[in-house]
Amino acid sequence: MKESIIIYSFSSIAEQIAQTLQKKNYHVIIVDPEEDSLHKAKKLGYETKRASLMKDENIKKLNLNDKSIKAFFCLSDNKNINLFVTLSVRNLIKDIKIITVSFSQDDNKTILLAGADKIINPYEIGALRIFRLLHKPYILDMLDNILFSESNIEVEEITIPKDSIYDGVFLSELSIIEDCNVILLGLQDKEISDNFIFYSKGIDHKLDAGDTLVVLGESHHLQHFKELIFKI
Amino acid sequence: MKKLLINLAYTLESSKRYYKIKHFFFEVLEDENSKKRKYFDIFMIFLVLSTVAILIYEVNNPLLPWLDNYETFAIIVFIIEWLSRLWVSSHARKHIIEDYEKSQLLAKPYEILPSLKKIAKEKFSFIFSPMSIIDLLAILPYYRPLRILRILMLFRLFKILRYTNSIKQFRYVFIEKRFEFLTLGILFLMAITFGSTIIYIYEGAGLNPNIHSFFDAVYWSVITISTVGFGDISPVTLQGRVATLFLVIGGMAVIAFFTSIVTTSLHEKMEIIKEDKIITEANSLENFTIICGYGRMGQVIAEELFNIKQEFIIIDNKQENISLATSNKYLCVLGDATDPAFLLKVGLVKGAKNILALTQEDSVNLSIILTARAHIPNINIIARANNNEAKEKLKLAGANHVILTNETAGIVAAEYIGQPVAFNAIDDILLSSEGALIDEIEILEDSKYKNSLLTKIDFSNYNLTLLGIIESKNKKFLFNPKKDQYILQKNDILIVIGYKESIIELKIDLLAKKGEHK
Repeated sequence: MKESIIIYSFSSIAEQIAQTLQKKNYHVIIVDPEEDSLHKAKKLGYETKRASLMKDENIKKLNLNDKSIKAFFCLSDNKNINLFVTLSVRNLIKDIKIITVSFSQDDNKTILLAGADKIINPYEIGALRIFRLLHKPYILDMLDNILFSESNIEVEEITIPKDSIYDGVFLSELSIIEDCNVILLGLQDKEISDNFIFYSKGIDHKLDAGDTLVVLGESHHLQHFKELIFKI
Repeated sequence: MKKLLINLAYTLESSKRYYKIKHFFFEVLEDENSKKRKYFDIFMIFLVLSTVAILIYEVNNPLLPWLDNYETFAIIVFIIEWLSRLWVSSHARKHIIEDYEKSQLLAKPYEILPSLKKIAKEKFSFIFSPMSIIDLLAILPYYRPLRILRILMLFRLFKILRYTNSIKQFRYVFIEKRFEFLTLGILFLMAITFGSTIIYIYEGAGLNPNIHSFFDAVYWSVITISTVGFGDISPVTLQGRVATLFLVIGGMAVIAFFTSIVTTSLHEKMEIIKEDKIITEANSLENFTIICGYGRMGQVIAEELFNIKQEFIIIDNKQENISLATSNKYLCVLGDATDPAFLLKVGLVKGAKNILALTQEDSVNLSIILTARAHIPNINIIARANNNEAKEKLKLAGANHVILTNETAGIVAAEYIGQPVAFNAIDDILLSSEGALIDEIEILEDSKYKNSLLTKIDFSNYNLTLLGIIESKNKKFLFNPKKDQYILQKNDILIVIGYKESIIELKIDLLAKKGEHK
C-alpha cells in the first residue's frame, strides 16, 4: 500500500512539494479550507479534502493516527495559521512527523516550539544553495546528481534487522562494503543518540540490530548489499 | 625652426621613454587611483606644514641658517612641481603633429603659428586656473624684495586642498550653493550698509568718541551683525541704539540662514563622500561577489560568505535594507542595480567574479542579468526566480544558474520524508562548520601522486572517505572508482568526506612534490 502524505493549505510552495512527492510515489492528500485552491489541486490529480484545521474536531476526522500516513505538512502562507495548526496537530497526535514552512529565520524557533519536527524555509534553502554554488560548485553538482536526478547512484538507509549475521560485527570487519562496491557514509545508533556518526570519524563502531547505515552506491550494487545484510 | 619643431614633435611622439616619463609624472601628480600619488601628496602636505611652522617660529626668534636652506629646498620642490604640472596639463606635440598632417593632407604649406597659439592657449588656461594661481602665490614670497608679501605664505595652506580628496569636496559645496550664498551676501551687504550709514550719520559727527571715520561705522556694524559684539564701539544716542536693535535681530536671521545652508549642503556632501569611499573600496577588491538585493535570501548568503571570508558588496535600493547591512558591517551601497552605469561604478568590470540577482521581482532580476552579461561575457550569474516560466526566461537572458526557491524547498522536503537519516547526514556535511565536511582536492602538476594508482593514497589512514573523482579530461564525475585500476591524472579533483583536520593533512601530503618526503 502506498504511503500517504497530508498537506494543509495548497500554497505555491505546497504545489511544488506535492509535485515532488507525487513523483516519489507518495499518495498526496491536500486539505484546504478554500474551494478555489482545492479545485486547482483536484485538476492536478491530488486527492482533496475541504476542511479548516483551526478546529480540533476537523483534525481528528483526518485520522492522522493511521499508520499509512507518513507525514503532515503545514504550508500555509500565514505564519499564525501555521503555528496554530502545528501546535494543534502535535497536541492531538504525538508521533506524527510534522513539517512546517517558515518564511523568516526569526520564526524558526517558535515553530519548533509549537511541535514541528522540521522547518522548511524556502528562502534559506534557496540562499544556501546559491552559496554552495559559489563556494563548492563541483560538490553541489555531484550531490545533485546523486540525490535529485535520475542517475543510478543513490543514497540508501539500511537498518540492521534482528538476528542479522552482522549483529555484533565491527565496522572494520564489514568486508561486504568493499565487496559490493558501495560507500559507507556513516550510521545512526538509536541507542546512543539521534546524532549521525560519520564513518570518517575513525571510530570502529560495533553494529547492533536497529542501527541505520547510510550507504551510497549504484543501484544494483546497493541491491546486492541489502540482500547480504538481510540474509539471516 | 619650423622643421626643427616638427622633427622634435615626431621624435617625442615615437619615443617610448618620453611617454613613460610623462606618464610617471602624470601618475604622481594627477592620477587619483595611483599609490605613488598618495605618497607624493603626503610628502607635499608635510612640506607645506613645515614651512608654515617655520614662518610662525620666525616671528619671535632669530632665523637659523639651516631653516633658510630648508625654505629654499621647499621652494625648489614647489617650482618643480608647478612646472611638471604645466608640462603634463596638455600635450603640445599632438597639436603640431595634427596640424602638420592636416596641412599635408590638404597640400597646403604648414603654418607653425596657429599650432603654437593653440598650445599657448591650453598652457595659459592651466596657468590661470585657481589651483595654479594658489601654487604661484605660494612660491612668490620667497623672492626677497617681495618679502613683505610673507602673508602669502599662508596660501601654501590652500595648496593642501590639492592633496586631499575629501577636502576638495567641500569646495564644491560653495560652488553648488552659489545662488543661496549670493542671496545671503546681498542681504548681508544691505544690512551692513543700512547699519553703518545710520550710525555714521547720527554719531559720526563727534558724538561718539570712538567713531572717527566711515570705516569705523562699517567695522562696528559687522561686529554687531555677526553677534560677536566686542563692545569697543557702542552707540551713545537713542537713534544709534534703535539701529543696533534692528541690526542685532537682522544679524541673527542672517547667521541662521548661513548656518542652515552650510550644514545641509555639507550633510549632502558627506553622504556622497561616504559612498565614494565604499565604491573605491569595492574597486580595489578582486574576485568578489555582487549581491543585488538584501532581502531574506541575500541576508543568508551574505552571512555565509562573511563566515568563509569571501569578499562581497551588497546593492539594494531600499534604505532600510542598506541600514541593516551597514549594521552588520557589510560593504553596501544604496542604488539601482538595473542601472548599468551604477553597476559599472561598483566594479562590475574591474574584479567581480559572481553576481547574484536576488530581488523579489523577476523582471528586475532579468534586467540585472542582461546588464551584467552584456558587460562581462564570462561572469558567473546566479539568479532567483519565482516560477517556472520566469526560470526559463532568466536562463535565456544569460544566467548560469537559476534557483527556484519553492522547487528547491520541495525537493528538500521530499528527501527529508524519504530518508531522514541520509538527509540529515548530507545536510550536516554541507552546512556545518565543524564536524565532517565534504571537500574538493585537486591533483596539481607537480604532485607526487600524479600518474600513480589511486591505491597509493591511503584514505582510510587519513580517516577520509573518497566519494569519487571529477576527471580532468572530461569534467565528468566518476563515482567510487576502482582503487586498483584508476590512475590519477593532473587536475583530477578528488571529492572526499571527512573531518577538517584529516582533509588538511591529506592536502599537505598531496602538495608534497615528487621525491620529497613528508
